[in-house]
Amino acid sequence: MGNFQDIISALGQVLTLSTIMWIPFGVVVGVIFGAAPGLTATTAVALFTPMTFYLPLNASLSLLLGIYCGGFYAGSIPAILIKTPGAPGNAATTLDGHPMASKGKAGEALTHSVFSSWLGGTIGAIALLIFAPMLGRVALRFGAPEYFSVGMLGLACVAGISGKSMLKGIVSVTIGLVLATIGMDPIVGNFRFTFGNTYLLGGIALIPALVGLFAITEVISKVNFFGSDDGTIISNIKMSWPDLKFYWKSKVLILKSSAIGVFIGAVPGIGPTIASWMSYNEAKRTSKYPEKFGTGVAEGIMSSEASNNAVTGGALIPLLTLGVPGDTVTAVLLSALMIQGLVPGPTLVVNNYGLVATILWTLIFANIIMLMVGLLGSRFFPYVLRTRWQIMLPVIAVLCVTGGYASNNSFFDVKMLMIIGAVGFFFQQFDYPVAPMVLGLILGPIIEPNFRRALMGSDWTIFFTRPFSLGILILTVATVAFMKLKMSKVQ
Amino acid sequence: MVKNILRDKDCLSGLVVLIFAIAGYVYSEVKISSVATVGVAPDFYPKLLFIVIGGCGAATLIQGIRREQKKNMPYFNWKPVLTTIGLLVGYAYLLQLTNFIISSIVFMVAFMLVLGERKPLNLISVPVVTSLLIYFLFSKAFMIMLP
Repeated sequence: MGNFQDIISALGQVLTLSTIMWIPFGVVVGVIFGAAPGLTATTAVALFTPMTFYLPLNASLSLLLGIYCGGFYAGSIPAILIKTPGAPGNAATTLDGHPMASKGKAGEALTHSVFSSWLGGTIGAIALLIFAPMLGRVALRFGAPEYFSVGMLGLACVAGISGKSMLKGIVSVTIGLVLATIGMDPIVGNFRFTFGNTYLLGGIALIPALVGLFAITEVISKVNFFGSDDGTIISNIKMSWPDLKFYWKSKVLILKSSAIGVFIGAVPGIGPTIASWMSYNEAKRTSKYPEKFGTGVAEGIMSSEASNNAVTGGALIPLLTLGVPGDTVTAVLLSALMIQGLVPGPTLVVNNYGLVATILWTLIFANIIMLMVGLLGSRFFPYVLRTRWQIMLPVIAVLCVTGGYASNNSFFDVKMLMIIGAVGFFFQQFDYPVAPMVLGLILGPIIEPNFRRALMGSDWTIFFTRPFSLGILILTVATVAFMKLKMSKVQ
Repeated sequence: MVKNILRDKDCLSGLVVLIFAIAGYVYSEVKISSVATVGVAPDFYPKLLFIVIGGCGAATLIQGIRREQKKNMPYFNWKPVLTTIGLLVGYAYLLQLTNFIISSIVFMVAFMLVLGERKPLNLISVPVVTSLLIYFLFSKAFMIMLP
């Protein structure tokens, strides 16, 4: 574990007005995007990342991590009130959350959701502080073959975010890897796929691609299904406070669910969906009344939500230590860190423990604000679910263009954003997920140069003869196999 | 056979992916240097990626042909979708021709009309307030200059 003084000093940095005021803003934005059907935390982080260009590092982290926490939690609001999870990670919450709300206990269900999310999120943040430096020290020994293998482990994410067809997920991620090759060759400097266009010499800028794929694609998809029913909203919500005695009695359940969330979150590719289902099943298996699960029991909501939010801290471990995102939202966060001039990797964590401590405090405060927003704002959630898309969609589109332009002050980027968004829409309609494409675009610059550097002084066997590289490749195969098995069970 | 391919969304998308992969592979073969001074040549990696894409495209196509129950083509509400894409592209060009505030107001009014908004107050207030708010927020709070 790092220096105690670093942790205290990071607290001082986070507790300044210019930093801490961004957390509530981020949490509220995250809650709105996470709760509104059709929008996600990923869209919100992608949309607001360009705004952080000229913000100081701590303020940027506050804004983005606020969105991250708020968005992860808020997916449970539509899961409880309209039986439609805001994100796949909240799907297990629907099983008990909606029946509880249907019995007139919507306020209680929302309280269980936010309180468990707060506990899980805080435990996840503490786990990040403990485990990130440990993994960072191991990763310091990595060379090109290991980094290539780590990139491949990151690609294992595809198994978790491919949706119905793994084949289509592989197509999408590989197209992302192809897009990452546009521009100058990383080893010898040849130009590839530029088609004589000078704007493409530097490659495809990440922010327009992210905003295009996650936000413009969603805008066009919403227009395609415009006017379809979003479901019946339970709007009779009576605010309720958490029963602390009940939570103390359920401490083992919360700790176990959070531990599952942290562990699953830390392995790139598995993500919150599997974590929350595993925790839900474990809670049901060990419950004294398993037959009541699915009828509106609090433990069903608590296990799923504690685990879902513990993933936030867990997913940051590989992101900060290896530069490999644990899921889609952290893939976008990775680009946000890179914009701030930080290159996630072992040296960042080991030599800059203060940054990990800053992230810890930011996550802790973001979780506290999320708890307050969740408890005090529960009466307003039905209004968020009744989003007026005639107003929301044009506003999102303008924010997209603003973000796309602001990244490089380039009109070309704005046009690129529109093209990528339109292509992403057609991809989505044919069941090709767009998230793997972003993953490919992000991991491409890790995979290709390290792959080619590793082969400069050796042959193919180098990836299998170095113990760390081999170990990571085995973990990659195991992750994909595990995901295939679990996803087939979930479906 | 050809009719069946065009009616099934997996067949059609698999075919398009396969054609894209072949085109990409040929382009890499012709246009990217295959001279390796050390390690592998610059064209090796893209070609490898196109082989993977082509393999997956072919597998999707074959799966679609073999499957007895065809997957219907996706639902497209073409008129609003194409209008929206047109508006977005037009917005990008208008931004270059005018400035952020004017182009955003024009775009938002047009988009809101496409989405069925008819209240004059909303059609005026939302675009004006949003455009000005974003412009000043970015230029004053975030110090990012917009056109």
